[in-house]
Amino acid sequence: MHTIKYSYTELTRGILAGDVLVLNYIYDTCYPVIQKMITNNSGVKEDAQDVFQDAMVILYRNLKEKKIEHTGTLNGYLFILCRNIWFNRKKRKTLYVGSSLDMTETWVTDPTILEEIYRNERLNLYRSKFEELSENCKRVLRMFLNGVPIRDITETMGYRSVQHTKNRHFRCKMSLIAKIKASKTYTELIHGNKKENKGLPGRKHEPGRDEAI
Amino acid sequence: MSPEEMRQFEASAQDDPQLMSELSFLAEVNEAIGENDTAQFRETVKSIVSRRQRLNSGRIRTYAFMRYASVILIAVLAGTGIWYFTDKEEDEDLFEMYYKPYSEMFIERSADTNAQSKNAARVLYQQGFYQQAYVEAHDQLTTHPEDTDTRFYLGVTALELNHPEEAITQLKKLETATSSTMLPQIKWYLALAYLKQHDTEDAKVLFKELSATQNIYRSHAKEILKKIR
Repeated sequence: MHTIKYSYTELTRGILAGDVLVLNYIYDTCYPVIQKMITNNSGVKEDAQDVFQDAMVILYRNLKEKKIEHTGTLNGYLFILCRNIWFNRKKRKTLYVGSSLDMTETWVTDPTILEEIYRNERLNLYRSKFEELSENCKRVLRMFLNGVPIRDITETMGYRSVQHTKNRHFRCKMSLIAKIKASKTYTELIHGNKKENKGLPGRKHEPGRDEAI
Repeated sequence: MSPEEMRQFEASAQDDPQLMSELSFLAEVNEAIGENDTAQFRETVKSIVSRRQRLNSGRIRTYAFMRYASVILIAVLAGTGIWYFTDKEEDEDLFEMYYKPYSEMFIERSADTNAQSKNAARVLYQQGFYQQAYVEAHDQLTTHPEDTDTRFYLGVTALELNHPEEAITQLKKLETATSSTMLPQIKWYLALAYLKQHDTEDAKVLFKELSATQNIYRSHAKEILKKIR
């Protein structure tokens, strides 16, 4: 189906622009291998979709923050991300659900990639809890974060005073923090990741070694 | 806080790992709230994955039947100009390849109540809450049928929710009623809705119009015209 082959620059630009043609191309060229890797390692198709989406978001964020150097292929990087996300999830499942993980399975633990995965999971959780807030709370928090003057926020929201806006902002922020900290995922993320980081087999990611997919 | 108080706070934070961890937690929460582009990107990837999955499962189901049918078809068509079809794509494939939800850079905010209702559908659509956007747009049009912006959003939301026939009805009403700045967007999504409905002839007319003028969809319209049956 794809007669065009994209260069590295075209791919990175396309990802950053959310270009649907480029994203379709990445899906078609990478996803089958990723799904195979996951289903061969006790996952199902839905796990593969989930992992692929998370990996794409990490890739997007890293490109946006210019954290990726052009040393290998994007496909290779995406595959490594997916592999780490998947084995990390399996590992966490063994800690919290008590299922067994075959420790003879070979998997890469690159501390930098792992930290990106954890960060992505935290940000996903915070964002999803933010979406659970009321529309007004979300608007107030967004405006505060965007540096909108408090008088303008008071006027836009139709609040009676600046003090009321400040109280409202405080309550919304506290409610968000409470929602996050009360979630099971938060406990798993904070404590699970600490446990996982102890005594894991690890090696540094070597460009070129893991690129072939 | 004064600069001196800030300096003292930062110095004490350095020595207090718990406070540092709380600060970095709050910074990440702020980051998550501000990450609208990443949330949008996630939605785009999600919709691509689900569309490709749907497309592939459809292909797998028809694959077995197609294997037998194609043997017969090849025998019949061999030597009778089969080459003509080889580089053409199915309407559904073209739609999946080129469709992505409408995205705009800026959303106006206004204190005016009617303007806020107008914005509600737009904001919900842009945030990916298509069902709610659909309901809001319908409500707004009941009281303000002349609101072309909201009608446009109703059209693209209907398309996103897989109701191409309604998308066509709404977007067709805008073809003559809207300012020229919105026309390329209207034509593009109307053409895609026709494509989704397998109405290739009407789609072609619009893609031709888009490829004949300067607009952001021009190159894609040209590509589709080359691939369309």
